Amino acid sequence: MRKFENQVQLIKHEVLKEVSKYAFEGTLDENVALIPVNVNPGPDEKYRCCIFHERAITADRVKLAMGGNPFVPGVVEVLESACDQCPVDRYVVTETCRGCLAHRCQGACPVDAISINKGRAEIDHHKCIECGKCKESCPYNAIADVMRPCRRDCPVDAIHIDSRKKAVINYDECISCGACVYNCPFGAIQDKSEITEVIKALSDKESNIYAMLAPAFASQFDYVDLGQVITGLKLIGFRDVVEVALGADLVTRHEATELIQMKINGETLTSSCCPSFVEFIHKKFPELIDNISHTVSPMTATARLIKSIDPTAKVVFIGPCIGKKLEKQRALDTEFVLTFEEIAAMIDAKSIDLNALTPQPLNNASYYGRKFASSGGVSSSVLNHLSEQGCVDLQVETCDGIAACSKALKLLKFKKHTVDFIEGMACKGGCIKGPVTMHHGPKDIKSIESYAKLAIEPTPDDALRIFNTANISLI
Amino acid sequence: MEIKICIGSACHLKGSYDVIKKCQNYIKEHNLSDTIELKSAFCLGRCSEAVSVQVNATEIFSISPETAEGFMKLMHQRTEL
Repeated sequence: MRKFENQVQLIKHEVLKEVSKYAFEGTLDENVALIPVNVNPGPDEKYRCCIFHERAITADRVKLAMGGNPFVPGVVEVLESACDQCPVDRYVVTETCRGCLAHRCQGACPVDAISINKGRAEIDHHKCIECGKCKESCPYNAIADVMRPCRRDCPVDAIHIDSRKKAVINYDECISCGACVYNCPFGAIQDKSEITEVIKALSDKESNIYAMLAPAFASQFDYVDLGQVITGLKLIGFRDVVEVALGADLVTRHEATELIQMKINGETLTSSCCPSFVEFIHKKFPELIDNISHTVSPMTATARLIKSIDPTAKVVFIGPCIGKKLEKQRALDTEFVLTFEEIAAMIDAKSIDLNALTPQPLNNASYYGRKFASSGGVSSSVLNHLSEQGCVDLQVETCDGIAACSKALKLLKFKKHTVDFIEGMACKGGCIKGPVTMHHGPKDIKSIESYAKLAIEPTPDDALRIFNTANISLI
Repeated sequence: MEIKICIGSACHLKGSYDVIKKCQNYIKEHNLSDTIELKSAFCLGRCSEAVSVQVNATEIFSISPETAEGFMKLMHQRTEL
């Protein structure tokens, strides 16, 4: 049985499952109003003020599961009904304040925002600049940082709070990394889904749809044999399942050549696999756009590889990533993007017992292609490929998370960077730590290594030896 | 004649890449590139009997790297009929 990490994940799964169930039956339009009652049967509320509020939130989740608001430009939306209006003021004095004599907090405050009232510290939030010096200075840890999780975890400061204390996303700044989706404890920010469109496409008997499974798959579905998931995917209508790691093998060879060219030019190349990292450069470091690798992402490479063999194919990327939903809107080779959460809900909606299925293999890509899913995987693959050709004198930097990327890009911008290649991943740890994976935890890194070792092809060249790759454009 | 060899995971594990190489070699040795066109394909739906090979988009055979040459000989004879 699948174990859910928290209630937010469980509720989202319930909603996606209900929507998928009716979509598979072809009765979604008539039954859409039933879903909030199915998910929140009542009569008593479980999480919110009343059952009607819970159902209203579920109805909003259903809208996102069915594609969301087309007038909202991003791939994630704030569910106003679910946003719990967390405190706006970042620093608060808690009960632990002893009313001491030293008042180190008062002394540390650079803007004179702390006064002492009846022996206890008080913060004037009109003056407070949220520097945190009071919190650091208190010997009793009596000052708490209660910054909203959505704001705290947004790496580009794209979330602000409106006059009604609801979170608002500034899509001009947003890089679609999905950090807010994963970190909001109320599940009030959710990604838009394409499940209904995918199910419609799968239900067409004439369709020829391939699932492209991202290598972060290794750490998913830990309650069954991964081979049983492959069988399950074919049961819900996918014609075949192809590893995105095979596209990563194509990317390795192409990016390696590009890297050598950049080194000859005396320039630094950055990776282009992570859509949120690429978006980050476009929005925050536009002067570095020319440094981004022109090689397509493994998703696009895999889509082109499949279509070079089967021109009538339609392809669905399945991964841990919200950014891919953004990338799909720009790179048109992939028809649909789903997440592991969404595909798990679709399998459950079909009442498929994965444990009862005979496993089928998934093994085309190389060890290195599979390693793309963890931080450092892209650079180690490119470096290994080049070292096999005798190029060993290359400096790379692996940037794990947007904060690290920002630091490296700043140095590059001011020409203080001497590395040849910057690998950037928006999610700390790489794709396996993506916002819409089913499991987050320390064992993920290990699972990707053991999954990679199961690849029967050691290198990208081995994995691609029979493909006529000359006709596949990778830019 | 068009021969499609499955490169899906099940067939790959049973040696479809080697089958492709053997078939390519046979075509080269017998100068058949004008009469036999070799293509790859994804799942042909016979994973349990892999390596699956489809001829002229109709018949599906199961061959292995060991039987690939014999298969090509038969196909070669067919093209000469």
